[in-house]
Amino acid sequence: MNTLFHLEVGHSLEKISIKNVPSIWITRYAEVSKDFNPIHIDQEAAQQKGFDQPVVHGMLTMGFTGRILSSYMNAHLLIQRMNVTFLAPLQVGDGVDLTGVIKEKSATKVKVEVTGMSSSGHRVIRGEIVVKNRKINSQKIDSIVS
Amino acid sequence: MDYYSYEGFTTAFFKVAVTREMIADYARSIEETESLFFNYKEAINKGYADIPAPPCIPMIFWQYIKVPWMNGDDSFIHKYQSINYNEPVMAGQTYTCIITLKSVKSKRSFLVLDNELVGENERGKVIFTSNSTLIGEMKK
Repeated sequence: MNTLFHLEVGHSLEKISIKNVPSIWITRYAEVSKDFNPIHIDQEAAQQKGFDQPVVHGMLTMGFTGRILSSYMNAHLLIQRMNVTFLAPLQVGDGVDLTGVIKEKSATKVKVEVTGMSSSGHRVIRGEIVVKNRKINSQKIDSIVS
Repeated sequence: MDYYSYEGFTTAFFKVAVTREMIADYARSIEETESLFFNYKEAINKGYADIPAPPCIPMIFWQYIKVPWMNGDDSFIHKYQSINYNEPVMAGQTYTCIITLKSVKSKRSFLVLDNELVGENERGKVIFTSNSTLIGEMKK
């Protein structure tokens, strides 16, 4: 049985800690996603919208959040659903701590509640990730067939 | 731009061929360190047929189609995102995708756009559904 499914409800997964989001990360994500909205890459454009620094792409923050489960993944598991609400933008130079806590668990599914707190003390993202144990279904099928 | 006139509108179908390189580039862009997303042997050892993609990758597929209601000068903030999977996105697979503007609503002085990206595999099975809620300031 997979390690993730061995963990108990209430268990905190290993935190993703980012001390400082540099502008080069924004540039790299913009290149990969082709999202060159000036608010992400130009300080003046960000300041015109009321931010001190360029704003980190929401999907980049969500990408960081998804990393909470990376070390647990194998082909027997499926990230069935990932939902997040973006609460406040991260800006270049901000740090963020992304945490996941197991909220619910059954033989076939684990639900992880995720949260991101910026270095300035704001919650920037919250949501949940549901992981399905695909091995359970195949085992049941095998037992029915044999 | 009159966003309401685009409500229910879909893009044309477009194909995205996912490669190991695309997955590696994406994984690097989110500062991923797990070798699973970069190393074929590691992926095989973990039971995959090829390299799987990190879960948020579908959103970068928007770049492969012109989305007419997102070509105006207005800027939107990403408020809510959900991605649902029946299978993981995998290297070596080609996905047929379509984006729909599901609804346009006004909320106080803001415009709320709900978009949906759906991707099917080569056998016509829906692999992922990605719903994005964007909020923009309504211009007077």
